[in-house]
Amino acid sequence: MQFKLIFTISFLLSVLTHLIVLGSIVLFSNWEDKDILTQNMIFRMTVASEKIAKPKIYDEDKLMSSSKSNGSNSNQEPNNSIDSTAVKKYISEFAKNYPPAYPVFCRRNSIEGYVLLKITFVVGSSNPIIVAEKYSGSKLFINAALKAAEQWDYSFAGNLSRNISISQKIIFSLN
Amino acid sequence: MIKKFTVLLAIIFIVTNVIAQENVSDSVDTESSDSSVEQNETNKSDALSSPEKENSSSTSQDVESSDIVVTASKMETDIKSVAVPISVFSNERINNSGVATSSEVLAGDSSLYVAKNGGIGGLSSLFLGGAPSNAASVMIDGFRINDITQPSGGFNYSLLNFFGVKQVEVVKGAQSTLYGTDALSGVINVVTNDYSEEDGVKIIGEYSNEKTHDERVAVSEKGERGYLNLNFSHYYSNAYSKADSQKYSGDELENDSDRIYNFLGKGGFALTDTILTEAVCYYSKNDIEVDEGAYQDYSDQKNISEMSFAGAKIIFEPTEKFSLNTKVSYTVVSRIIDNDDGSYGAYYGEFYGTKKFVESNMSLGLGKFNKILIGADFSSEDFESGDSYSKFNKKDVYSYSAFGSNNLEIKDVLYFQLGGRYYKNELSGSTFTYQAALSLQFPSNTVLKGSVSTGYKAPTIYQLYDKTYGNEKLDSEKTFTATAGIEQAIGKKFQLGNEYFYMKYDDMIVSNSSTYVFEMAGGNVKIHQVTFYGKYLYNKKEYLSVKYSYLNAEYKDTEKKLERRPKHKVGTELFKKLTGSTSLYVTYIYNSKRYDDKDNTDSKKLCSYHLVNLKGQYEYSEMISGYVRVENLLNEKYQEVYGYAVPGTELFGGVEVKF
Repeated sequence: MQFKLIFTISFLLSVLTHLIVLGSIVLFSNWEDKDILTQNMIFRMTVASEKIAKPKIYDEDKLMSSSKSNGSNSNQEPNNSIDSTAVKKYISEFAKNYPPAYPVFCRRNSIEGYVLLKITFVVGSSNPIIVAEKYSGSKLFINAALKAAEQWDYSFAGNLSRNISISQKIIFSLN
Repeated sequence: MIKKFTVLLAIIFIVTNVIAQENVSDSVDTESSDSSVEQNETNKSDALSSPEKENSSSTSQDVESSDIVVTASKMETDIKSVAVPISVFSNERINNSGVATSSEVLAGDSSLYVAKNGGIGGLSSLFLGGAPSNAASVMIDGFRINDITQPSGGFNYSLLNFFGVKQVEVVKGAQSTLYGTDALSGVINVVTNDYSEEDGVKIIGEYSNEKTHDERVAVSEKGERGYLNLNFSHYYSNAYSKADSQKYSGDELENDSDRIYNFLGKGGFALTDTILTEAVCYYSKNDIEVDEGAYQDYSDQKNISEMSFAGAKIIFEPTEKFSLNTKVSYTVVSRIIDNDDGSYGAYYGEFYGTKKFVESNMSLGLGKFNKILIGADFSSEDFESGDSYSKFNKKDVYSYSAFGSNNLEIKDVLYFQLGGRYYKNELSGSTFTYQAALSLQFPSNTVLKGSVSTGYKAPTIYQLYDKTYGNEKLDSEKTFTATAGIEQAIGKKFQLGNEYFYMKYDDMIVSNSSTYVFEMAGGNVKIHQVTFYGKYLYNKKEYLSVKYSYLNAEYKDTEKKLERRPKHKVGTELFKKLTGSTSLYVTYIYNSKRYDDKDNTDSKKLCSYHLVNLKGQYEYSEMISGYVRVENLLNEKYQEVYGYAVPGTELFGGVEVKF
């Protein structure tokens, strides 16, 4: 009886402590600390709760000017559209700035690998189709990469005049 | 003494720095070597890429699996940063020796002292840094497994086998802040094999000229989400009498049998990409004939000790900087001493104990360099004596504690750790312990280390409740420890260092000299230990290491030396490939004279000895290798415990098969 009581109290205290610390993380999320904690965890927590807008690294003007500066592509695509090179570049920026979380099993067991994502934008839809084409190391990388890619900002997709499909490689490596 | 040592440390620091400056060019070489490792890493990343030029992004984390230890800070830490003295016995080092029994492996380190009642299955004690045998916390993957049935809460190291182990980490200095009770002088943590173990089956069998045999089987299987490692070993010897032959004529002696079974299993499974579960279980059964050393050689009595332990962890780790761990464990220990037919002989006893433990902790990275660890644990122990002469019925005691630690790590510059723990025991009241440790790393490849900490050990159920000798008013034993050290790498191949360990008891449980009732006796033990070590690396795998320890461990009131610890101990190790397929491993251990009892009786003085063991291995193919090893090459006649003989020279032949 005593054991159960103490166990319950200890467990509740432990849960309470964890809640306090998790709360502190959310409160401290204004810190301008560009570490993984704020980049990944806070980002994903806030996006999941949909209380805070997704971070905006997409700049429509820059995207448009980038498209126009691509001589060869601009001949093939309408003036006001976004070309695949520019989309690639912006997806790459997202992949760099908001990378997937390293799966805990892989990190603790020094497993490395990569996932090759194929992201297809269909005209008229702002939600791209994301699939993993290839992977190495562990299947857990696929889930992590897809989860991260689903959080990226694709609001520019509404401006596309034709279907675009790009490949984005996510490398999971331990230095 | 402390002043003298401080001066000595300062001199060594200056000298080593001068040497380091003279080897600046070597240091530059080291850096360029590191760069090439990074290049290799880059190449590895490139190798992961497909031939087409595609956009790619990498998720990088700083993990160096070969140099990571977990015990010193309860988190993965680069061994270079660790601020307390630590000895690591890697899987490779254990395999090289060909021996997996813990006492034999740990005895190779000069700062650890082993005393065993005779052969491999005999009751075995270890004095970490010269401290009493019950002053170290013994753990498997961070779970404490100290023997509940031992009156003073020590551990019988004959029950611990290192087959299937990734590495053993021995940390000196009180570690109660991180690991709770028992870590008065330090911690011995057995880190078991995980995903890094190669897939397949490994079988080892060996046989000696004394008909001793040892069989080991390991099976490992890993998938993309999990792994499972199973290890089984069996040892049998019936080669000699543990009773000291000098005390008997030949007719009175009989050969004593030791039979030991060990099982170690570990598995891990990723429930999601952020949640990992791990489970480990360990079983050991030690069935030996009882000898009372110099007093009598019993022919029909035996001692059967069994330990079963199971532990499980759930780790929630959404990022490298945040981790939430919950772990539970259950341990059952039994010790039965009786005649072969189950009746009681001259010595008897039946002891059973169980321990339940639950801990939850969380580590959180704050900024780039700072990590905090907080947690709470609860444990409950019960113990009963099963024989008809039982002096107490089943009794239990519970305790709980909360702890926190802050780790500041600036890679290759400094590491600072500050922590505290509040502990409450059902009977012995509350205790607060603290720990502070600092290491500074200089560009000259010099590392300065220092720590101060306190430790506690709750009284055992036996000490509290035994009807004749127990005392329910006992408080926890308490210690203060301080460590200091310097490490110096000279070029790529030499490593030199020294460490100082100081320990004193503030509160100690002793047995009253006239009534034998347990009582608190303040602090009566003081220990100073100085260790010097050097290592020469032929390459990554081949090495020569030499370690010397000076020990001054004494009782303050009588100024007598603590029993069974030598003043001087040397441990050396050599591993060298002779050709592409043959290798040689040699160990040399020297122990100076020491006393066997508290009163330092001259008649019970144990002689000094030189112990040489060697092993030669030939790899026939990747699958099959054979080896020959010799234990006690010089056929030294010595004792670690008065009256208990140890085996003489023994020649082993073994085969190792992998598939």
